[in-house]
Amino acid sequence: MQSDDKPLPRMRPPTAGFANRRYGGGFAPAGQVLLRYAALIAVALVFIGPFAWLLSTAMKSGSENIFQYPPQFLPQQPTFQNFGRVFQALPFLSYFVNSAFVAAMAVSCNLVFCSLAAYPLARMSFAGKNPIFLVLISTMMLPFQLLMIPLYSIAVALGLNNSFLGLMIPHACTAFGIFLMRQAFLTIPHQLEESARVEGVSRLRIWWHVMLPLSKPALATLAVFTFVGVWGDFLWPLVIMDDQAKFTLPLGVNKLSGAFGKDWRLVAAGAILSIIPTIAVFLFAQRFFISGALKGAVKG
Amino acid sequence: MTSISLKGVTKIFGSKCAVRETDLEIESGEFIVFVGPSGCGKSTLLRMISGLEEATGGSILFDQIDMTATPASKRGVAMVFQAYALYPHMTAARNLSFGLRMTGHSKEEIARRVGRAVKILRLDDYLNRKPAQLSGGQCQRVAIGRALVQQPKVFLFDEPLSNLDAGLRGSMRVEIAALHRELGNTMVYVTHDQLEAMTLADRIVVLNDGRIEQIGTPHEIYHQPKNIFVAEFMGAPRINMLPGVAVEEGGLFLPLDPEQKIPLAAAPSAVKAGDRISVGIRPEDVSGSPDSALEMRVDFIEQTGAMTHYFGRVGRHEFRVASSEGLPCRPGERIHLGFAAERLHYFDGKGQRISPETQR
Repeated sequence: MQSDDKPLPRMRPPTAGFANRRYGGGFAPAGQVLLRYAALIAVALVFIGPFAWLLSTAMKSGSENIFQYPPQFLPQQPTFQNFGRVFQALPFLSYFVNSAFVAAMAVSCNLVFCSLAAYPLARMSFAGKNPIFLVLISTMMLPFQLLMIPLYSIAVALGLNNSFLGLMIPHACTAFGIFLMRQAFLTIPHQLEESARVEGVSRLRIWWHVMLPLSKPALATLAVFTFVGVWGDFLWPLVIMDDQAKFTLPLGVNKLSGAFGKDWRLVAAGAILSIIPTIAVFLFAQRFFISGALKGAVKG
Repeated sequence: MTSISLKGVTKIFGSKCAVRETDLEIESGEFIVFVGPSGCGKSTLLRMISGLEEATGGSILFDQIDMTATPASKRGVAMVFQAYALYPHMTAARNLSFGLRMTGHSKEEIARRVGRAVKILRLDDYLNRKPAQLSGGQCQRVAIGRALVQQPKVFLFDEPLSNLDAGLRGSMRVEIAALHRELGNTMVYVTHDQLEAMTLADRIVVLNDGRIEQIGTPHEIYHQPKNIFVAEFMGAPRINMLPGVAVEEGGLFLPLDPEQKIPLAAAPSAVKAGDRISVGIRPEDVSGSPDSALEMRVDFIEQTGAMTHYFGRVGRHEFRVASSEGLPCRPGERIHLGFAAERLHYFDGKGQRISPETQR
């Protein structure tokens, strides 16, 4: 039997526990924290590794054997000459401009068309809405290789082969983009739209002035995904483009490997140069990936 | 100012009937409050008036013009939502003017209307703040202002104060009442808070399970409830409802248990011995009375400031007393209670009020 005057166990104040959980400090054993960070660093290395190796290869001089065993990560005589040689060997800037133009067009079209298509699917009632959405989603399962030949036939029939328009159109509106934007619109409180409807605002204006500004994180995500997809696309430009003056960067970088008998230093330098815009776009769009975009919209 | 007529308005969602063949006449300039428990159909009815929800059946008329198929934007209504529905990416000023800007009003007209709303609702100090930087009360004031600038014929409020704390609710209630006095527009207001309903309404519509249970002034609803549902829904603490069979023992009585019975001295003549009835008595109509035979065992006492609430049992029935002066008892003790016979409400076996016109 427990004695009445036995002291009760001391309880830790709830705020202290909360603070510790939140900031990860305090009572967590140091070993556990080290282990956690070690795991995080290991995962980070797995992702950074190939890029670091690419950079290392691009900075190795011509006298250095890049296939030596054991592999040498750090260049013995680091050099930036390979980057300069890329510009001498190819009209790199021209390819860059072509890629930027196609990517900008594809991103713009995607943002507009996908969000336009997503709005009725998210917010309007009409016959066949769900089957239409299902069919759209189903197309995500079809690999591009399956669509490539029919797409090429259509492009040729329309006279779009060897043109930027033909290059861009297959990227202009994607099922993934529609799905992403539909899900984003679904999270916006109905009352915001209803309030605007009662005020006499048209659906198109609601889409532009209410739905889009509140979907910035989703738009930024879609922009990044589209940009990365179009910027790095190799297969479709290879199929549709013959005119070398209209080549995009992936085709141009591919030419590097052929022209110099596979000088991997140049290929690596070209690849490094071509991924810089992707990183820049991601860093720019990152600020929109903030949570709480709807803060203050509705209570509850 | 606009009158509203609902004729057989029905709303069915899938297999659920949310509003059943509802008829209602709202007079021009009237402040009418829909009140009822959650899921009773009050918000659905309001949304059908606004045009945001399509009626499954029946018709909605504004000034005798059929508006049933008219879209929300063409009805001349403005709506204030429970959750404010302010555009989070716009400042309070942009929120106020958004609808006007989108519908092509001139800059001068927008400035005039917004200026008037700002003056009435005292919004000057936070016009340049975004909703996230405003308190709940300020957000709701902006939301009301947004309705005001539309210069609507009818104002619709969908539980506008439910998200505010008690103090703010009180002050916003006063502001809405003042707004109605000043503008004189027809206002339809939905709430589940009976205090809001009683203090704001010219007439209250009590809804339950998609049907109107009673329409009346706050006084009528409280003092002459048409049935047990209305009697029990309106009033806090809840009315004491004592069901039983009336007996004649040298006068009409309602036995509660073998030792206790309530004299039905002022019962309507329609009440006869052998009738199954329910007798209701408001907690504030009961007081301590040492000579009375009615005895309550007090289980719990609740202090609310101005009033003290006593919860307990009379026989097998739950019983509540509300007293401003307090009763000489503590939890666990018994106390004798009394009330004036004419304060009793009588309901028949189907729960409908027995007309008190002819007293015994």
